[in-house]
Amino acid sequence: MSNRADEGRWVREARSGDLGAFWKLVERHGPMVRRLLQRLVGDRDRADDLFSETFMRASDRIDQFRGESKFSTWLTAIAINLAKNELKLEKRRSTLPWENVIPDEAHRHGKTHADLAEWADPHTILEQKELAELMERVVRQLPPKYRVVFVLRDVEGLSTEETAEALGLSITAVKSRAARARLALRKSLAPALSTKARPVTRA
Amino acid sequence: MPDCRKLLAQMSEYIDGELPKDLCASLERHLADCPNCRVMFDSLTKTIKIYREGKEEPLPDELKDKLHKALEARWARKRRA
Ligand SMILES: [Zn+2]
Repeated sequence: MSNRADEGRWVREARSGDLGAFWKLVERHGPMVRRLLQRLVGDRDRADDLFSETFMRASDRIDQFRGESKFSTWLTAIAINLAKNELKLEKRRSTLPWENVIPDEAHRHGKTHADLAEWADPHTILEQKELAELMERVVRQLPPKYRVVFVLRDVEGLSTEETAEALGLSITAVKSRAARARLALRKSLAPALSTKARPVTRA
Repeated sequence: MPDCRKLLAQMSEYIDGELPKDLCASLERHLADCPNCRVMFDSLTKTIKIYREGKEEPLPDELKDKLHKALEARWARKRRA
């Protein structure tokens, strides 16, 4: 693909001291890196600090990029490393048991559950901006170790394997955390998006 | 009585196309039969879809300027070294 060929050239030129070439890499991947950090750390100013740090570190270590992975994956790994302190991935014990992510009676076969109304198309219920804010808010409420898996997997579109590699987790752990994170988000979004939800009143 | 709870755990893998074939078949049979799980499945799929569709914002000029200046300083030092 020509995208990848461009990148290879930009990396080579950046290595030989061409800042213009490095800047092309910033422009191509910057928006992705920034969104990743915003979703991971929540605070937008802090995310922007980490955004700059990510590219400073990438520029310092450009010689170490060998092109074995995609450049975007390499950047993602740098960004996550920098955000790790923020997320306190290891220390935080907070977990999401199944009971917390599925409606209480959903497992009772044949019974209709009040919380389980069909969903409308989110775009018909909420303005784009309201929807975006709601989505961002509920992601931030996830415990960090689930949030990071969800963001890589479903916001940034990494595969299960790539996510496992980036975080040093097993495939099984990634699958289990992704499943719980998704169910937790579904539950948080349901009050706004199910057809039983009251219409949103706007000021 | 089918264990909906267990199937909920499998739904995520099913959506990703990572669930083994035999389990897919039993999940599909169950979905045809259980309105609660159907709603769960539909809303879970929509949840994932809206996040995947999300767009990235362009970088603000201020942030770009700041980073560009910092990089220029760093690269000037690199060239001297
Ligand atoms: Zn069921």
